[in-house]
Amino acid sequence: MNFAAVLFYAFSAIAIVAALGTVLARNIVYAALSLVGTMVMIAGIFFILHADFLALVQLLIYAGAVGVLLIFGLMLTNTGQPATGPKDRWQRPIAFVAAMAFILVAGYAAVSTDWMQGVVPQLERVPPAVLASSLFRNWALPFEIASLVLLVAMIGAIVISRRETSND
Amino acid sequence: MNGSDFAFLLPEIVLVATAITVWAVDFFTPRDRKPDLAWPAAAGALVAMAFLAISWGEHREMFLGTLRLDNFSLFFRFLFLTVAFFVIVGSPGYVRRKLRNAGEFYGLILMSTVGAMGIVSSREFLTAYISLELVAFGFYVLVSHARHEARSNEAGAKYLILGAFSSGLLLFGISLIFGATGSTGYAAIAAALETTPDFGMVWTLGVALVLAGLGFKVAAFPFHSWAPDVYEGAPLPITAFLSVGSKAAGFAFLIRLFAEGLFPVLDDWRVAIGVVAVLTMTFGNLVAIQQANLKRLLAYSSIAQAGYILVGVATLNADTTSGMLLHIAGYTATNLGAFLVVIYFHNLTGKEGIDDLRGLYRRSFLLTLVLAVSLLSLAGMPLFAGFMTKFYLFTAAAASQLWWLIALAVANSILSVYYYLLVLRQAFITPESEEEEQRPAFRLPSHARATLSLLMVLVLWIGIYPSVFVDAAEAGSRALFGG
Repeated sequence: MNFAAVLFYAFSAIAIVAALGTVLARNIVYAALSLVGTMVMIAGIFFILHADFLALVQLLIYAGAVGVLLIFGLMLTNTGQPATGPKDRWQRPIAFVAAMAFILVAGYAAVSTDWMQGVVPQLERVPPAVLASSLFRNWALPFEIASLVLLVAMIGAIVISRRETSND
Repeated sequence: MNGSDFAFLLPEIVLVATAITVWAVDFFTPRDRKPDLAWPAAAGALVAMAFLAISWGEHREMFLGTLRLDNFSLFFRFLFLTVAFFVIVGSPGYVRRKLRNAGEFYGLILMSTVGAMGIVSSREFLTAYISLELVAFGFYVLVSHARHEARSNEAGAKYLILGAFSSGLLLFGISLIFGATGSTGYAAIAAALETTPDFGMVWTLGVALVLAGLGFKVAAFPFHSWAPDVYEGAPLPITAFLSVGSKAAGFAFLIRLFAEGLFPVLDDWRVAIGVVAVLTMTFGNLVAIQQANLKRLLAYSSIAQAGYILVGVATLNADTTSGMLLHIAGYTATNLGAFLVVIYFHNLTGKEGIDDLRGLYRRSFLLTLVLAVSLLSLAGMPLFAGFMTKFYLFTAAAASQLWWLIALAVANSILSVYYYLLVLRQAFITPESEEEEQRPAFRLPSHARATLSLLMVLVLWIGIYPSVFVDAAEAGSRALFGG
C-alpha cells in the first residue's frame, strides 16, 4: 500500500463518517457542518486522482460557498427548537432491513467486479484549458441545461418562499 | 458541428426566450391581467412548433453525438409542444381563481417542456439526466404552486422528496453502468456490450437502478406511490401536464436508452419489465374502480396506461416502438381532453367528485361529449384513439410471443371499461334531485370550446383514420432501428 492509497482510505473513511453524521445528527447545524466535512474529503480524493481543478472547485464551491450559504441560511431561519422525534418508528426495522440488503448487494457487486480492466498505468494531469475547451465545446449542452435548471430552481424558490400578504 | 446547426435547436431556444420574456413582462402586468400571460406563452409554443415543422425529416448529430435530432426526437418534441400549448391554453380560468404568480406558472411550464425536449434528443446519460432534472425542478414548483392550499403543499413536498430519491437511484445506476462500460454514451455502451457480453453484478445492479429511477418518473408499480397524492394535490392543469408530459418524457428516455444503448441485453430484462407492466396496469385499474374523486380516478387510470406502454418496452423492436409512439400520442390527446373537461368543470363549480357530474349532459353538452369521447377512448372502445393505438401496440407486441403479457394487457383493458363507464353513468343517466334541476347551464369561454373541440377531433381522427399519425410514429421508430 503506497502513500496515495493510505490517503484514499483515510479520506474515504472520514467522508463516510461525516456523511453518516449529516443524516443522523439531531442538530441541523451539526448536520450541515458534517456535510461540509464530506465535501472536503471528496475534494481530497479528487486531489489524489490528479484532478486539481476539480478538487479546487469542489473546495471553493461546495465546501466553501454552498456550505457557508447553508449554515448562514440555517442561522437566519433556525427557530432554535430541536427536531421532534420521528413518528414512523414502525417503519424503521423495515427500512433497516431494506438498506442492509441493498448494501449487501452493492457490496457484493463492488467486490466481485474486476475493476482493474480499464486501469491506466499513470494518471495524467488535465490542465484547466483542456477541461474548459471540453466543457464549452463537447459538453456545452448539458452545461447550458444545468444553467436553466439553476434558473428554474431560483425562480421556484422565490415563488415558494415569497411572503404573501392577505390582499396580495 | 457548425453554427448553422444551432438552427435545429431553435424550438428550444424560442421556448426559453418566451419563458424569460413572460417572467419579465410579469413585472409590469397588473395583477388582474396576469392570468392572461397564458396567451404569449402559448404563442411561444406555437412558434416553436413552426420552427420544428421546418426541420421535419432532417437528421443532425451534434456535440460529438451527445445530441441527436432525428424523427424520433421530432415526434416527441412536437408532442411536448402540443402538450404545453394545451395545458397553458387550458389554464387561465383556473389560474385566475386559484393561483398567484401566474407569470412564473406559465414560464415554468415552458421550461419543463424544454427539459422534456432535451431528454428525447439525448443519446448520453448525463445530458438526458440533467434534462430530466430540468423537467422535475419545474414540476416541483408547479405542483406546490397553490401555496395557500395544504394539499398542494403536501403534494409538492412528497414529489420533491421522492423525486430527489428517484434521481439519486438513477444517478447511482448511471455511475455503475459508467464504471462497467467506461462510457455514458448509449452507442459506446452498446459497443462495450458487444465485446464484453457480461459485466457481472455491477452491470445488473446499474441497469436495475436506472430502471427503478425511471420507473418513479413514469409511475410504474411499485414506484407509483407518489402519483395519486401528487396528482390530487397539484393544481389541475399541472395534474394534466404531469399525467401526459412527464410520463411521455420518462418513456422517451426509456425507449431511446433501450433501443440505442441496452438493446443487446434486452432479453435479460424482458420478463422483469413485462411483470412490472402487468402489475402496474392491474394495480392502476383495481384501485381506480374504488375512486370517488375524478382527479384520483384519472391518476390511477394513468398509472394503468403506463402499464400498457411498458408492454411495448418489454417487447421492444421497430414495430412495438411505433406502437408505443402512436399510443403515447393517442393517450396524450385523450387524457388532455379528459383533464380539460375536469378543469373547466372545476372552474365553473369548484368541485371534482364523480357524483358532482350528475346532470352534466343537461348543463353542458360539449363538456359531456368531450368527457364521453375521452373516457371511451381511455377505455379502448373502437372508433376512438384508445382502441386503435392499443390494437396497434398489442398486435406488434404479440410478435414477441409473450402471450401471458398480451393476454393480461387485453384483460386489463376490458376491466378498465367498467370504471370509465361509471363516470359516464353519472354524467348521463343518474337523475338530478329537483333542487339540482334548477341549476343553470354552463357558459364556457370560447377558447375553452375551441380547445375541447380540437382535442375531441384529434381523438376521433387518431381513432378512425390514423394514417398520418402512423406514418409519423413509424418514421420515429425507423430513426432508432433503421430500415
